[in-house]
Amino acid sequence: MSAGAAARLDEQPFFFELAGERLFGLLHMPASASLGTVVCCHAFAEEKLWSHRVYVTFARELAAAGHAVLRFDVRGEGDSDREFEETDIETRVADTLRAIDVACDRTGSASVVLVGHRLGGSVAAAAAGQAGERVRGVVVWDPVLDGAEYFGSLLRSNMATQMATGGKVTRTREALIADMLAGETVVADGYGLHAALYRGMCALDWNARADLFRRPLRAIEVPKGGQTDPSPALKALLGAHPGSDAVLAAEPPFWRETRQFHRRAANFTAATLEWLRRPAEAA
Amino acid sequence: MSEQIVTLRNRAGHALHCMLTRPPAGVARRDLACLLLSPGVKMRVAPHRLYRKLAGQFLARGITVMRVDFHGLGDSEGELPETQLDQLYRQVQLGRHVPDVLAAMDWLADHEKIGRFLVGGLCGGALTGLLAAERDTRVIGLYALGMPTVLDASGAHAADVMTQGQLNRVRGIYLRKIFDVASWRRLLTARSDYRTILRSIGGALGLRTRGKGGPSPVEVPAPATPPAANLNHGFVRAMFQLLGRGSPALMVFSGADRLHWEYEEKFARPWAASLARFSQLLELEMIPNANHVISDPQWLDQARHITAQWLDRRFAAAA
Repeated sequence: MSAGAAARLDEQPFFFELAGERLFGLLHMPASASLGTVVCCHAFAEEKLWSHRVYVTFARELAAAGHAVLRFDVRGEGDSDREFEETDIETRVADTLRAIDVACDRTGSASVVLVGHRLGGSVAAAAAGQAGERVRGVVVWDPVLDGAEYFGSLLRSNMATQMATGGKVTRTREALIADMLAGETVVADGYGLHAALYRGMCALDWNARADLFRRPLRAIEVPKGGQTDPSPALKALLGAHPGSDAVLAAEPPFWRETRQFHRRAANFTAATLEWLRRPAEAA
Repeated sequence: MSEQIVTLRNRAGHALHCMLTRPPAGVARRDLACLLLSPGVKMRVAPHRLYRKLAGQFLARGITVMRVDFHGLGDSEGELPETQLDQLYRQVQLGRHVPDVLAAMDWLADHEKIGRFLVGGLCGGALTGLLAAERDTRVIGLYALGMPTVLDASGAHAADVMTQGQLNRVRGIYLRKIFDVASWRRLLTARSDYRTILRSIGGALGLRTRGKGGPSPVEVPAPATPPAANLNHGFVRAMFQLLGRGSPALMVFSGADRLHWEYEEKFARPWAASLARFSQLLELEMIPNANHVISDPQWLDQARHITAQWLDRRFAAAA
């Protein structure tokens, strides 16, 4: 579709409530009879913003394929209430559980599939572990298997800013963590990181969390180099949990700043749709 | 902060999803709104929700705030054809989203009975606001954070359009590598950027490369020196028109951001004589050491302070 020719889409932005606070959601209604409802869990902080348009396109493609899709902003991000610094992994899981209820209420579905990107995939899996039959399955794009390692990448951003603005790193990763655990808020890319968030993220270790696999789960891994099969570590992890599988799908890192404008993740979308079309018992 | 989702349509029929915030209870609502416009591809919240963090300065002064998602970006409808960011930025810098701004102002006029507007935001959002001001006299002020003055994807080699500030920084980097074996290996195996090295070091040695120049638009005064090859003439034209009708502009730059050098070297200095008569309208503020997105809380506090001071100077409620 060109920029000049507008095609009307059935999309409903709205706020929904959780304990007196408002969360922003946008419901993409299917073009035809619904094949089921999907709730999208976005990536974390600036990765959410870089990948936003890809998620929008993904939701529209799923709607065109017959799925109702709810995208929403967790508290502290996007247009939802709370300051970022007042949120942690627990609030993100609670927000996802509430979004599942809202999606079911608005679409009349009895259950949903969660699609989560990066850290949002870990949040989705954690929420699915608490949601019971309300979640039919989980699809995770480029999973973050080790939350502590991911947190380290956020701190590297802080150190890069130290270098760029002061010419040197005066506080190392270890010092930043120590200060954070002592109660300080450490800023990375404008987001205040704190001890509760750090602890929650460190606890998102897929190898130590059987509860992340209570519902059928597909992990979509980005191949590195000449990789032709899902990585042995991921296969071993998912192999221990019946109903879970891993597939490869190449995509550029649209969740980071690159020279490209990313609006679509065709391979992630195809791998997701293929999984959604499976009979419920197979998924 | 109580926000309302507004879905309006631009002339092409695209639904633009925007966020409207009215002044809080107890603050008199004025006939004035600020439109904070999508920066780059980061949608209506801006990096690290910068627009939400700055909105309070406007709201506390009775100024309604609308954060706008342009067509093809954020949650809005439409598709942008570019695959490369510099090409996309170029289209923004040429004014692609100006009609979206006009549609947002129309909506606010119709539904909120507001007839005067401040426009701007960060980077491309600021520039789009300026270009919209050129088209619509309802705009009475420009609020610009890190606004670009050049066109991306101009086809010129990066070294040819670097400012002297950038060249000084690059020269420092090269000079620090003078005793680095790996750097010499890259140089001798043709993996270094000779053009940048020559221009950065050559400038210090008194060597000069020829400016490419270009025709001056007739609407604006002639600059004292030939315009930079990648200068956005639309920016110059719109700025002179905004100032010429007596509307103020706040230009906030970050100390660690090349955009400040570009503004100084490619606009402020060449047009210094012509800009002198607008010195009461055109205000430049710097946030020392800050990065482009003003990510540190201290920098953010300074941005808030600068914003508040400007609003109180220029748009006090009694005025």
